[in-house]
Amino acid sequence: MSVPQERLRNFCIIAHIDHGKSTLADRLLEATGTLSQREMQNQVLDSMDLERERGITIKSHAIRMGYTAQDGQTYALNLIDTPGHVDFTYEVSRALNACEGAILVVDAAQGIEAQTISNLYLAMAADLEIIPVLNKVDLPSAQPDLVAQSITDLIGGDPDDVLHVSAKTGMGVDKVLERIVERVPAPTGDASAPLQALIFDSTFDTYRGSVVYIRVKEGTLAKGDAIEFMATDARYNAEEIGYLKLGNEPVKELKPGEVGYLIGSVKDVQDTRVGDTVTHAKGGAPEQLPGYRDVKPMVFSGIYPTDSADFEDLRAALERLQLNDAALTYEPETSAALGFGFRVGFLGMLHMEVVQERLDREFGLDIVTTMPNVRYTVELSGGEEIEVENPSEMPSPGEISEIREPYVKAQIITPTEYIGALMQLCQERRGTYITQEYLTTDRVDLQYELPLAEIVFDFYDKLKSVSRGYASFDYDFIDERASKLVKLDVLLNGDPVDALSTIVHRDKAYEMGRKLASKLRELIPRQMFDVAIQAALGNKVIARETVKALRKDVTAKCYGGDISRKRKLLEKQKEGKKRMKQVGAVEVPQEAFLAVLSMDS
Amino acid sequence: MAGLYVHVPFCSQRCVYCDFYFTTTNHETGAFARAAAVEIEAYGREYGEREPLETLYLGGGTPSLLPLGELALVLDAVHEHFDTSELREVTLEANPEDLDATTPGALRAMGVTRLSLGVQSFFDEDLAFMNRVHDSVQAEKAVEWVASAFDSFSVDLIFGIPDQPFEHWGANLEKALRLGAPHLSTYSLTVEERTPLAKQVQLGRVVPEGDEALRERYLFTHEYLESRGLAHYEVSSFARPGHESQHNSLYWSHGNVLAVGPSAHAFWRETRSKAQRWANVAHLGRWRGLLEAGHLPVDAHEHLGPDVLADEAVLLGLRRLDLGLDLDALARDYGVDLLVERREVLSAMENAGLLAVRDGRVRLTPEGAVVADAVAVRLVG
Repeated sequence: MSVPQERLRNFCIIAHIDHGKSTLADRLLEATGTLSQREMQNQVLDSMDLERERGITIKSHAIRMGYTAQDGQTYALNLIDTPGHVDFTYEVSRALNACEGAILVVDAAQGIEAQTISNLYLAMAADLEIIPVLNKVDLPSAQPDLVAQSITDLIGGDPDDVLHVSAKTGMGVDKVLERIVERVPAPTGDASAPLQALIFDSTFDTYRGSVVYIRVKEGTLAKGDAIEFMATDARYNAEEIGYLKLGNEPVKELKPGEVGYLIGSVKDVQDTRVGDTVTHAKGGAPEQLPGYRDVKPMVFSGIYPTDSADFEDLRAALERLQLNDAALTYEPETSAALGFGFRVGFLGMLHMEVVQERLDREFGLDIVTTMPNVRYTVELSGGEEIEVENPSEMPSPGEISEIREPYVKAQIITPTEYIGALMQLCQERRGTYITQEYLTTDRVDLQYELPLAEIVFDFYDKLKSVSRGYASFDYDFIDERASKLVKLDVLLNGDPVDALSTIVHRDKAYEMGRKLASKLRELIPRQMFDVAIQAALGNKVIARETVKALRKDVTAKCYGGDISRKRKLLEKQKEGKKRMKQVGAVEVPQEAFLAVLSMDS
Repeated sequence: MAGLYVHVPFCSQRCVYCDFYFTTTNHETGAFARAAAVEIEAYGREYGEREPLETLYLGGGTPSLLPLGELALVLDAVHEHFDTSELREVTLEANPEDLDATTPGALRAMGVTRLSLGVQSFFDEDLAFMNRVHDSVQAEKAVEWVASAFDSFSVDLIFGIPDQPFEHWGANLEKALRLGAPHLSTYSLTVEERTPLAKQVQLGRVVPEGDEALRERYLFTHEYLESRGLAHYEVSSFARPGHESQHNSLYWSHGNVLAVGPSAHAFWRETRSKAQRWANVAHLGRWRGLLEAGHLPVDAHEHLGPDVLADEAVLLGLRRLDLGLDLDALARDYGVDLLVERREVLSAMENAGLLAVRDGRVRLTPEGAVVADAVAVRLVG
């Protein structure tokens, strides 16, 4: 079903987690008959199991709907679903650039959250038409008038203009569709201009290679065209192009304003970067679309197979994951304690968790993950500059003239009563207060500058707990700043364990050392002999704990029938042992390498 | 050479810690003995020719509840259907309350060579706690009578009874020695699932002794008995030279053992690296019913390959503190070379004083024996 350019509408949905984005999307698909009831599976767009389970979107998707409006005309609506998490801000911004409009969904009971605001600002920066929608208006706790007012305070307009919806019951969904047709501008673009199509995501198909999701901005892409990915200079043929429906629907050509997919036997997913521009190999556009960025991981962690024999399997698994996730980076590294593994770069903690979980679930790999850290820029005494992504590679203090760490600007939106607790939290995390603005009489937008290293671990959980879940949080990378950082080492029975080293601020080193040693004492089970745990700065031991040896572990009787019972227990213990990493003579459980994460700080 | 175990499933009452199969329907001993004779005959037909019997062990339950005539029925069946020309040891487990001055002599006359006495303690409060039938006077008397009739016998004692003073444990050991026991089995009180003791612990009425206290008693037992001339030859077993349990030694060395009676377990090796283990149904009535219907009353049957046998060999070999785990046999029979595969772990544990590697064998020290299960986990594949 092809429609003229003036009857195309491309839009996305901006919402905080749990505010009902996916449910609204489902209703739109239902109301336009894109999916029959039978095909309806809750939250169709989140197709990865993991996404559905956690109710979060981590990749962008799109789906085309046919809609006959009250004016009697048939329109094609492309809903582009974007990730909602702060780890994926760049991906969001590219997906927004594929749209002309955005539906801003706000829970009528909860009000606006930080994540919503930051994505809203991204949408406004991309010049999108914002259609505000209040969801869950049927909840008893809903405060539609108040929340509508706070929305229009942010984006302008009349509070009475804000649509009232219950995505759950379907109430008001028809009005949302009409509003999209009315307000979202038709895309512009000249069908005869040189081709410029924006890549907003890609997935990998084992048989067909990379499936690239594009939005044509200028020109026309026809099946069979020779094409070029401008950022990577890679050339392919557009073997198949089409619309994104529940499945793929091939078409002959994609014109300006259209959203679709492109398949061209692209074997190297690194060629199809989000934000890049597709053009014709001959007579192509002279310039890329603006906004392309080489995505850089922000958080790094060592991933090692528990059983060193699985190293190649781990490599294969990471390769597979990277096909669908170009932001994932990995390089082989060696740890004295853990053997051969990889230093893996992630966009953020959620990204890291997702990758870990996929390695476990989809590839059945037993892995040890080391404490995540940010990337440090180290200026050596000789003036040379190096980047350190692994704490164990930190040069000795004598060789360092300065260490710089990434800083972010954090935006926290909170009911006023939690301001004090949140400011204290930010202070503890070495934050610098910038400003606070009242959004309404009882909601504040609090801004801080914080070292990224201080927020990547458990900042979000802490924030939620001091604000009883009411505060929300978002951040943007700003720059690198010099800090007084030191390497905190851990020794087990006198031997340093490189995989347990961390970089910490000097003023916090003693406290961290004590807490880390005591946490490790809890996590490391009793063994055949005493295990001494020491935390050290350079040669100076700052904390010490001991895991006492096992006192008694023996079956009293072992005759006829006891033997198979005993053996079965032994087999079970063998399995348990597989989750331990042998570091020298000490058995260290996988969790110990993430001890910092579970520490009470 | 093989062993034969006969499980006599009768008890007059339930000991608080016991999770063995038993029944208190003691009027059925005659029917039991006749069915056991049938089962003995069946195994005799299949295995009797293959290997002569070396040991016979009547355990329970309480074999001393079996009237002598019925015991004779069982013993006769063994002699009839097996080659007993090389039978070296016939052990019978007995409870003190079942013995009088004449029973040991009578048992001896019937061919029993060794008694294993379930004394557990010489203190009345301990015996009451454990719900044993006998009292301290009966215990002492019984050991005296047994000592006068048997060269070789064993006394079972239990340590780690909650609130048992340390001196009582020492006194128990001393009394057994003074009464002439050449063999002692000393067991730490273990809370097994589905026992009255487990229930009491769950209800908070009994608090089990901690590992530190058990370890202390265990190491004390070692010191004390070794100083009195008994060798700590197995994790829970002590003996004067020549008085080690031959039958139990078969279990610890993967020797062949046939088994008769409800819930009894048998082990038979087919080749060097293949064996089977099977268990009889754990119910007197069903066990008898199957036999009477002409079936072997086998419930669970497993085939053991080299990997499983290797794990068991480690587990069992380590229990022998005197012989140790035979590394050459492990490599020869199952292709497992611990000296290569577990070199670091072995040397770390040797440095920690838990074991010694010498003459191709791994022998646990007392400090190693008290954590023998943890050692085994670290040595198996």
